[in-house]
Amino acid sequence: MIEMENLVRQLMIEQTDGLALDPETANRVLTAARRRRRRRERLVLIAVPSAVVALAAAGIATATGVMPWITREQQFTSTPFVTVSNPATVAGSKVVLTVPGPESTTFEVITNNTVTIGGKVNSCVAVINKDSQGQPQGAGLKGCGAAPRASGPPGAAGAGAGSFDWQAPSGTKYAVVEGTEATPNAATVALRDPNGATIATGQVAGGYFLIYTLATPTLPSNGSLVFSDASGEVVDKLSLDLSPLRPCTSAASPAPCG
Amino acid sequence: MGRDRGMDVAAEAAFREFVAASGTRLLRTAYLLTGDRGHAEDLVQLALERTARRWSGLAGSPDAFARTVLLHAATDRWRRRRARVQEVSDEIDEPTVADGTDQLLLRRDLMDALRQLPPRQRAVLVLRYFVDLSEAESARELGISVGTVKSTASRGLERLRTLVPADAYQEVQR
Repeated sequence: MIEMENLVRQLMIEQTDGLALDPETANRVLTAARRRRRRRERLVLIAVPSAVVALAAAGIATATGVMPWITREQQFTSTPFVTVSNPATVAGSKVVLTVPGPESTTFEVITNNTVTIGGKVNSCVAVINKDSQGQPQGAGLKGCGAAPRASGPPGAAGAGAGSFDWQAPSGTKYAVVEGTEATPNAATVALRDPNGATIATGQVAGGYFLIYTLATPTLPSNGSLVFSDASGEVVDKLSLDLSPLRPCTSAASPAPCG
Repeated sequence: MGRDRGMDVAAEAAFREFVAASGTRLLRTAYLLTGDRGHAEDLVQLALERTARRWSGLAGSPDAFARTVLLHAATDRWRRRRARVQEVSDEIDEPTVADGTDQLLLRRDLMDALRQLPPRQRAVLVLRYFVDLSEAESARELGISVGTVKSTASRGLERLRTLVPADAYQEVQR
């Protein structure tokens, strides 16, 4: 056996002797890391505060009838739930749904109904993606609104459902649709095109669902979510605008942009 | 853990040093795990990107961290590829001849045999005999027990013996 060990050792060295890493690799890696960081910072700096401000303002405006940014600026504060990379680590958070994603990643829908903003307890929801090592990648959307959540998740395009596009580690783009489903016995959800053909399927748990599919120019501009119970009986339907998730048009593809 | 924090100048310099010192070794490890240079370069890029993102918070050796990412990514890739239809090789078996070409043929056969091993066996052999890790270190990086490393390495070597034509192996041993 020793001879075989030595032979394998020698062979591995010989076979890889001519391989050397491109000297530009470090630059490429650092550039990619910077790009990725900037992307997340943009998300945190623009999308999250905007969502928090809009939702908090809407809640306060509804409650007081006054535009909050004029007289009630002190009414909302930043919350760790929307600023940390993994909201599941914030006290009171709960992972309500875990969905295996593409490329060995996992999507998690996390809720927290104990975050206080402007003196009021808010309902916060986050969708994050974890890599194959279980580390959050910062993708997805986070936000808080007045509790109880009445009009779907933050960023909702319509009642009960929100959507965003997400880039997998390989660079492939996916369309992710997530939201709440009020029908208590809903167990599965299917994303269908206008002709009724199923594009993707997913699960419903704790009143939340998440479903994803490849973001391609062939994605229809609108579709529907069809919820079924454990026996396969349809219990609810929701129409959905998918156009924001379609990739932009190119010379090769006549699909409209956005 | 400082995940994906911006790197300062000193950290970037340290990371560049790490890539210069360990990058080629990682590429060679990846090549042995995948058997394909293009895929090996992709895996190394991925492993280095993740190492860069965690650089400021890495508790242990960056080599070990990057290698662990590499091993997981190689296994994931193998699982994805397994579902595809296997390509049919149009190579024909070359007769074993008792001259200097035996060494070359044996090496070619051994590399082919290595590529046919399941990813866990291949990873153990690469860590033990190429990266030169101890059984305990290999076990730690793969997240398995020392006993499993021993048995997996033994089975891997035994499998190589069965995949390589016995007469070629014996000829070279003489």
